[in-house]
Amino acid sequence: MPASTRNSELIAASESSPLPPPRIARDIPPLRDSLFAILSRRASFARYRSSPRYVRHRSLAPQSVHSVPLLADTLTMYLADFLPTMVVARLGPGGVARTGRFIESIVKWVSRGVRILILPLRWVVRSRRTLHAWRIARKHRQHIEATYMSQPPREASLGVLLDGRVMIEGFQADAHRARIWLRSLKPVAEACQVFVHLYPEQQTSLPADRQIHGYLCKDHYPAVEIKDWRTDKCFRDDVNFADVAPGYYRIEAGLIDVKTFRKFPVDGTSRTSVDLGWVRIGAGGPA
Amino acid sequence: MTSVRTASAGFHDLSEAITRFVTGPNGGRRVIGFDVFDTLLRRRIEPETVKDLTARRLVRLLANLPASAPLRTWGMPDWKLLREKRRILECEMCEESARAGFDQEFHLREMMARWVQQCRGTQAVAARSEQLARDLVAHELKLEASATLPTPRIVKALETSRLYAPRVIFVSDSYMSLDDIRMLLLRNGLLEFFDRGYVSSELMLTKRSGRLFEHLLREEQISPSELLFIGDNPYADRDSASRLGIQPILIKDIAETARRTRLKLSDQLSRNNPFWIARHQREVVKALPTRLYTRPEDLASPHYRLGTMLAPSFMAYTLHILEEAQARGLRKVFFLSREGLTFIKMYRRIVRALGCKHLAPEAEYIVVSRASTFLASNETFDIPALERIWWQYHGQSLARILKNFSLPLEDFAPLAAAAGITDLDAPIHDLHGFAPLHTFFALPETQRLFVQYRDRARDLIGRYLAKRGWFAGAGQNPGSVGVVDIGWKGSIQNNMYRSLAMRPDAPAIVGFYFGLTHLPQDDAPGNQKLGFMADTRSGDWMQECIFKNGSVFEMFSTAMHGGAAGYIERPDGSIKATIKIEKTEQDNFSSHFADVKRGIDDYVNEMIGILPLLDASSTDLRPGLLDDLRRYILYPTQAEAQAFLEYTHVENFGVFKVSDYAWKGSWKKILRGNPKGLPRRLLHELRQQLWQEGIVKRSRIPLGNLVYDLIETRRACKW
Repeated sequence: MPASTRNSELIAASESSPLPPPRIARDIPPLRDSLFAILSRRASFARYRSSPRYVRHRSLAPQSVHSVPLLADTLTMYLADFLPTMVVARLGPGGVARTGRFIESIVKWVSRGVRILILPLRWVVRSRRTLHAWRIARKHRQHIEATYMSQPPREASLGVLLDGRVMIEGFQADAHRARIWLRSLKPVAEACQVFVHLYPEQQTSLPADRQIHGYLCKDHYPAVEIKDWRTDKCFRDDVNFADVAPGYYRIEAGLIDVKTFRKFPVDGTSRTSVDLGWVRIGAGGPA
Repeated sequence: MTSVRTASAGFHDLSEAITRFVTGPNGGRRVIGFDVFDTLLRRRIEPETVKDLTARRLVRLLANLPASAPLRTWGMPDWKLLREKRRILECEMCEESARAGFDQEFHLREMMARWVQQCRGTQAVAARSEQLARDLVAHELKLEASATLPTPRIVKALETSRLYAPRVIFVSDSYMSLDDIRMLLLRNGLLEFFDRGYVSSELMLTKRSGRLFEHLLREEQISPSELLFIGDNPYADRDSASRLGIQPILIKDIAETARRTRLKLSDQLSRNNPFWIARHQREVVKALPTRLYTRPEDLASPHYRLGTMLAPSFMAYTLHILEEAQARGLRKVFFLSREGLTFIKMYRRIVRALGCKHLAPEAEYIVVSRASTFLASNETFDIPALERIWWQYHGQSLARILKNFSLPLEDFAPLAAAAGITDLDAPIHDLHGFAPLHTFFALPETQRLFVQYRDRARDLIGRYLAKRGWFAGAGQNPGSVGVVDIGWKGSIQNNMYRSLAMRPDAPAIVGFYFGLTHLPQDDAPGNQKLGFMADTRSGDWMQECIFKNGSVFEMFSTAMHGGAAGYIERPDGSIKATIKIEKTEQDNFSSHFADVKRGIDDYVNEMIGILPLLDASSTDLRPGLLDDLRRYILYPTQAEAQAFLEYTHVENFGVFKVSDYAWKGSWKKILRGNPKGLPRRLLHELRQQLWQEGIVKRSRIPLGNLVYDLIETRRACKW
């Protein structure tokens, strides 16, 4: 079939086509995002990404985690938009991408330089903060010493050594509370609890959930962490009996490492707790 | 054969160059030839991208997925693998052709048949392979048709050619057939200029080797000096032609080369990081526009520009609705007035463009509002019922409470007087401590009237929705339906759910929202909500910037027909929604709103025209679009921030007020007190404003938006 005949057939077939041939409208304003806005968004995202909220979001909805492009890619697209048309055409995709990576490396070197330059400033700021923190810590220490550090009365002296590191200097109890004086002889790095077990005169008087254990548990973290105890002063640990049913109880106490559940052994014995004797708890308790 | 001196020209002076070569001292050309791609026709996307899209199509065909279904990485072949198989196959076929004594070329249909054979594996019976191959060829040609446009000013060059040369021909190195190329030219209105065409795949001879030129010289019965050839490829169109003694004109178009550079870059980046997919789409849509910025005044209009910025997000949201509705097997999707009108139009157009009408859930527009559904949604008329809206709209008077409940003031005013409420317009600040209000609610007549009006409202809304297919019908499974709104808390969905939940035929509701502020107290079985661009359940601060200027999405997706006030029964028993439009809204719609909406419409038209070329799921598009919206909301330009002052937003439920976006803060409050607390008071006052970032931008404080963004981010990170 001659070409002209085929052309006319095709044209005739297309006459029913409702759409006119498309035309390109030129001179559209380019889609440009300013470099300032791009970098600002990256900065605020970097702040967000370093926060626990981002971690939480990532664990809650990993499918909607915000993907952020590489700086080099962002710069490449920025250059493709902003460089003169002639330059973009001359460079081609590879050239623009290389330029983007080159500028990224400059930005990174500049940011490293800025970081080095601001080191002294950061050091000053950190020193000020450290000084401030030290002042607060001193106040805290003074408060602790005033509140929890004291020597046991002579009549309450005990002198039991635990694991060669902690000395139970004294013990005193009345109907409402018990006081244990402890002193650190050597540094203790473990996270420890003071365990205080109250063995009642009648085991049947214990609540149902404690029957199996045979004692009431008053284990607790000391108000001052054991690593902060002093070697020259005693830490006074108070145990309140407000929630304990009235009656006679035998008290056993000691220290336990909460990570390994290892109780500190009592030096010179095979025991891991110190028997502190019987106490009558509660004013209205049986005589 | 001797080589000739080559010439180059841009499209702007191509006609003059042709005239010069035809009528000049060395004239006497009997035939003028044109290259097809990038000379006669310009492509919106790179040819390799068309092949990618065909590979994605093949995946869908093999997995029996509809055209709109997003591709997954599991349970179906990887399109990149199929694409690689095609690349290797094309190379093999080129080598086979060379071994047979022809040039390196292949034919689309033959290649497609072999490709399908290779890819189908055990997933398709052999008989289906032919059908698959035919479908893929049709799809690829459809993509090519969508992707090509006539080059600007080429018509003038063709007219000049026809004027001076007896014959005008086109010559192309292409794997498509001659008829395929002719259809493309026809579609673009260029075929009428040509007497004949030569395509490499028909003859297995190419321009690159020069053998196609030799063939056409024989066919046209002309000497090389009688042919003038115009093309853009320096090797195939210039060097090969000039080697044979044919006079070539090499087309140089800097702007087009730069556009293609940008296109290639965005395409390349989008393959590695989904963040760039939206950017790539925007590049494809806006680079060769046919419907955008058709009016000269649009070029300088920030309102029109805002419309073109919002449109891709709205389109992606609509695509998300389609994908989710299909995946969840929803019986019907109801688009709630007034924002729903914008989205239902997009939904129907997307469905048509993707050709998945038989698979997509049916869409229906329903006229509802918070005002028209609130009364029906309440079981009781008391303090707990009032608390549903009190946390948001506190300090209401009794008259306003009655208005929000759509209860007639004249019926309840005497009861209020009896309860000791003398001034119906006096604001009530202490909801629980205001004794006369408790007395008013405790009156039996108050409750009797309330139940009467509420039951009537339930009956009307139930019948209105029944007519529109909300209920499945007797004996059928109620199933699930979708409701679509812009956001933000899904109050209308809650109201509809509460109004109809007691009916046995009530369907489960899945709400689609552009942005969703999730309230746990609204959770109920059969009442589910999904936020697309932002969902507070994910706890993502990046998404939540959407809520910093939610009005921009609400205002420009709102239909211009006013809000639903209630429902009335016609004499024939049918139910009609009554519409009420405020004067301010009418003024809005006739002013800059129209420019913004035109921007949205033009962009959507542009996108719909080339939708097959934009094969990305809404999930792929979301990160890039969210970044665009963050840019607009957090770092607006001065023009954008100023333009926003010209908009107003009408609230017609709860507060009944018209909001504008100017600074409403009190400098007195900020400046009074200890100077140390000034920044805190300034921030506090700023946070009370609508679109604070716009205000900061208008203040012209250097780096103001960055500082404010960092402060807000730091604050948000503490939660």
